Amino acid sequence: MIENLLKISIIFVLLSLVAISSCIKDITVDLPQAEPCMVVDGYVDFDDYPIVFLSKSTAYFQELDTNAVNETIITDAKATVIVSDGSINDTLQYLPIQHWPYKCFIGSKFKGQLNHRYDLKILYDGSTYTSSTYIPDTIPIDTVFPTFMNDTFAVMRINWKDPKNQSNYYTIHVKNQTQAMYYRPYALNHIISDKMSDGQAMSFAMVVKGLERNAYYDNFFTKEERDSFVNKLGDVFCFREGDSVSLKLSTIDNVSYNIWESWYRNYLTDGNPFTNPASVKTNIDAPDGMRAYGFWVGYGCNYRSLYLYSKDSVVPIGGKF
Amino acid sequence: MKRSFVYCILLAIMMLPQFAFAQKYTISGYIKDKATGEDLIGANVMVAGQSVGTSANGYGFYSLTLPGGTYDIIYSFIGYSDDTIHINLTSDKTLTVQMSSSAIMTQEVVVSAERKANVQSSQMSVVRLPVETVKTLPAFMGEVDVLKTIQLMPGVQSAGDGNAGFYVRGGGPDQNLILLDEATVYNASHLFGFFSVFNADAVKDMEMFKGGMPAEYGGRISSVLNISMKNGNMKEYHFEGGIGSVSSRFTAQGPIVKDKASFIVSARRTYIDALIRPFTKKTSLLRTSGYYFFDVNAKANWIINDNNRLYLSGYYGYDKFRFGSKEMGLDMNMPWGNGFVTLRYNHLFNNKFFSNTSLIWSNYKFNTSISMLTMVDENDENNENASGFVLKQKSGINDWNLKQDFTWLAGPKNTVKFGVQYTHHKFTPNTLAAEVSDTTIGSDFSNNNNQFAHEVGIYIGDDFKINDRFTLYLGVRNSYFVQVGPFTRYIKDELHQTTIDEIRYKDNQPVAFYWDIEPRASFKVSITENSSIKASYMRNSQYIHLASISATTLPIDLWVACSDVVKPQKGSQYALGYFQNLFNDKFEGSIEVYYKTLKNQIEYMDGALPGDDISDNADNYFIFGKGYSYGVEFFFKKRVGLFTGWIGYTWSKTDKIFDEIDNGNPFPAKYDRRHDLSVTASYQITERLTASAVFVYATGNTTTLPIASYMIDGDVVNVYGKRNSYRMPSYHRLDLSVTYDLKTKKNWESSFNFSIYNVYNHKNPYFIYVYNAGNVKEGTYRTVAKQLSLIPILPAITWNFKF
Repeated sequence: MIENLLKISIIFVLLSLVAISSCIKDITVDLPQAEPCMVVDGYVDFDDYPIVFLSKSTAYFQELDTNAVNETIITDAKATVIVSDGSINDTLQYLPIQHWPYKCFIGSKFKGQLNHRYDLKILYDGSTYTSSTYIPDTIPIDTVFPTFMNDTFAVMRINWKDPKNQSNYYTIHVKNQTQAMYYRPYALNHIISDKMSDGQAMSFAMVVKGLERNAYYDNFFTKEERDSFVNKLGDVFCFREGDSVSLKLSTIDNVSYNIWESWYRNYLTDGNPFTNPASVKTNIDAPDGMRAYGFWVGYGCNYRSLYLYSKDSVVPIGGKF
Repeated sequence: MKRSFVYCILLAIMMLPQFAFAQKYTISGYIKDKATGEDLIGANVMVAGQSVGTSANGYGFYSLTLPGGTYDIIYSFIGYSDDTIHINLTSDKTLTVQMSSSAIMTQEVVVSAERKANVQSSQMSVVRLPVETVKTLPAFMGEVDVLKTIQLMPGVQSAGDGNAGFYVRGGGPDQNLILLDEATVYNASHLFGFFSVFNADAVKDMEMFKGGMPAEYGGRISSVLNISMKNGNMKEYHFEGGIGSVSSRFTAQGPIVKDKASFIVSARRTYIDALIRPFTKKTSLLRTSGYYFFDVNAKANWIINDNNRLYLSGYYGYDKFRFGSKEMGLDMNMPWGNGFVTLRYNHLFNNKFFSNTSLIWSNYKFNTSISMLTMVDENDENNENASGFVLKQKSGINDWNLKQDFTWLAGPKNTVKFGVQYTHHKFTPNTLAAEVSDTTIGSDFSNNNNQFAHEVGIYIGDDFKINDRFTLYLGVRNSYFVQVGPFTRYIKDELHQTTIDEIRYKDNQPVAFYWDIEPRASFKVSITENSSIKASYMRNSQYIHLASISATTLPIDLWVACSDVVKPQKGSQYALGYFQNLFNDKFEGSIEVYYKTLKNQIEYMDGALPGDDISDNADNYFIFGKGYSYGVEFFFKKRVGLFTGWIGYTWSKTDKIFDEIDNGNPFPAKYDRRHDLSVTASYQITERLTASAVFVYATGNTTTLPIASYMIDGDVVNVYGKRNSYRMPSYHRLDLSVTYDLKTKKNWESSFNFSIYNVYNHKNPYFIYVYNAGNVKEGTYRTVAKQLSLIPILPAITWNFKF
């Protein structure tokens, strides 16, 4: 965590360095036309049906208003999505969900099991895209509790024990029932490996509070830029009294870790002239001569939820909600 | 290996004829400036009516061996009147010549042997600029800069505003050996490249080899920039300086013992920070933030007797950047700088055998300290109760260097140089430590992962004049590099995530060993007295790399030595050129073509971030590849007259090949530049008024931009195009300056220099970045590309004085 903070701070310092005596103007950049490619955003949670969202990539400078976004979405009219657990093939149905993107391909024949492999097959526009993922064993959560940084805001801390002598990879997701409809990555770097702490007690907390509260950023980013940060970070990182909060600790395989890691690096290097930009990796196999983006990830998940009644009183409310 | 053996045999054969002749006598001595006693490096000595001659070495020493007889010996040097001495040679003679400087730039009549040196020497791809030329051109913020001027030569590219490095024939900024009085300068710039560390008042001479590097230079694969400091006036005390809008400088020089020992001290400091402060609000960031640099050059020398001389020179320069304030929650200090001390001893064994022994200490360091505070209480305006962390970063190089160089002036047609150089390196790769509430996380500074290494170079080279038409230089250098412990190698798993093992090396235990044979050769054929064709080949090994994480060159770029993972850089260069002087040597012109290959180049992995190397080896984040560059350079110069100047144009292409980047297909280097044009002009309007101009045009640098986007979990992810596939807009700029000499009184000269940088205020790109705003889920997402430019039109005025 500290490592990541260091990285972020170095980058911002460098950015501010040049901001002093500089002159910035908008320019028009003539980029090569990139062909739209298949994008898969799919996962299968332990004890839940597989979910897949399909879309197409867009040119970088394309403005994404509601119409444009809708045009990129691939519906069941054009694609067939099949998930297999090795014995049963489940053709996913295109069903409404409560939150954005409001419709997804959802399974109905089986739920994710621990230590199981799941294969994905997508038939689209005469081509077949494939992928495969694995749900590792879950790891029990020891404790989850809030740390109030001041009278208003709290961050959540989660503790668990890493099993010894095996490589484990984790993700932390969070859901604030008061604000969010679904579990979202907790902080940018919601991925952890046990590389530094094999077999030890592990702990994770969001350390940087809401970025909008840091005077440093107030000075150096316009409101617009700051809003963009906050939007990206989501409204789920800070919690207040009265919130119901649920944390999801998932184990993932090393392929999925590698992809999420590249996603995180892409976030940090995106548009940053002081680094070489990183492309996000993918585990989707496209037919020859075509490309695909996105990921298909199995989560061995565990949940713990709390109701933050007041700064001094926290009520456990079980698992997933 | 076999080829190198052939080289040695060739060298031996070439030296043989020297022993075959008898009854020859030697004239030797030093060539000096009459008024100051300064050595004239590179001054020419020619025998009238014959095409035999020599030139003074880096210490002003010359030696010419001729059969007994009567000769007119002509001594010549740029900016000095020729001196002809009639001599009856019946025995060995010592002749120290004192030459008077003249305004040769404006003299149309003098036909000097010096002026043909560019055509007649075997050396090609060499740039030599008198400091006087540098001083007549427009200067950025009025600060005359030798490094900026050398970048106006074809084949030498500036990286653009705000970039510290320069690029020679497609080579990286780390591949230039920059020597100041023989000490290696690792960071040659102040303020991210806006100023160079070389104070023009203290510089005597500079010489750059873009190719065909003589064997006495090694350790870098692209070029050598050799800068010599003045020795100090041997006759009388002199003071000079300049007061400018952003900086001032002052130089004092004079004899310690007349004609025996002298000194020079020169210092500079910028003071924008101090000037701005009174005009800023108490709460303004500018009050606590600021930047300055200062540097000091000092040198003393002592002529013990005719055969022995001692030099002591030193440089110390320091940049300091502070940004932020306590109120803001961020306080950053960033000091960096170079320093060196050189002790040199010249000894003349006899009138043909010159020796120099140098002991050099040089040091480069770059430190950062960042305190980042997090607001705890909204009412706590000064963040007094803030919690936070302090980040400290440290990197640097510390070298001890011992050199023994010999020059054997075997005859008028043959000069042999040989010697040995030893360097002890201590590299401090990026070391980071963070303090959070009194707890240190990351590296412990007392036990950082320093890298220690020994580097040795042995060389021999012979410049041999076969006859009036043909001149040949052959040289060979043998280099060795060994990295020794203490050292810890962290072994990573295949995902590059987990440290699965550590190898610990004990003190002085070898970690990695490399060596190479580096042949060098140049050949000249004169077509006429005024034209020649030259060819050269060089192969070099370089045992250090500069790892640049960003698209720009910044002080955060990391010097890393060869290790068990990082292999030495190897470069080979072939060059061919045609050289022609026109109209009685008033004009010179040349065309050179080159082809260069680069091996074992490094890049950071995609997505590598500053700070990745915490508790790790920095080289675990590198990928390795190769590169090549080719180009053609045109140069045309008017040397004398009221109007002087030159045009330099380079067409070049530089590609790199890395297995991990774009599937091993060639991609353009970030400094790949198809067109590079520099025009300089200087016109003396009246005796007191001179105007000058510089125009530069360069193809834009390359960069990598996103070409597509897609959505994951409602967030937008960008897809980047091929590495360096986007080219930024081209760079061009015009600078003008006017110098007006005020009336000269006895022992007092002064002048005003008024200069304008970037006259037509062109917004040259420093870098381009993209950024997005809005939200996909709400249909408000959009992207913008922005270009950041650094320097607008910038006038400056400087008052220079001398007494």
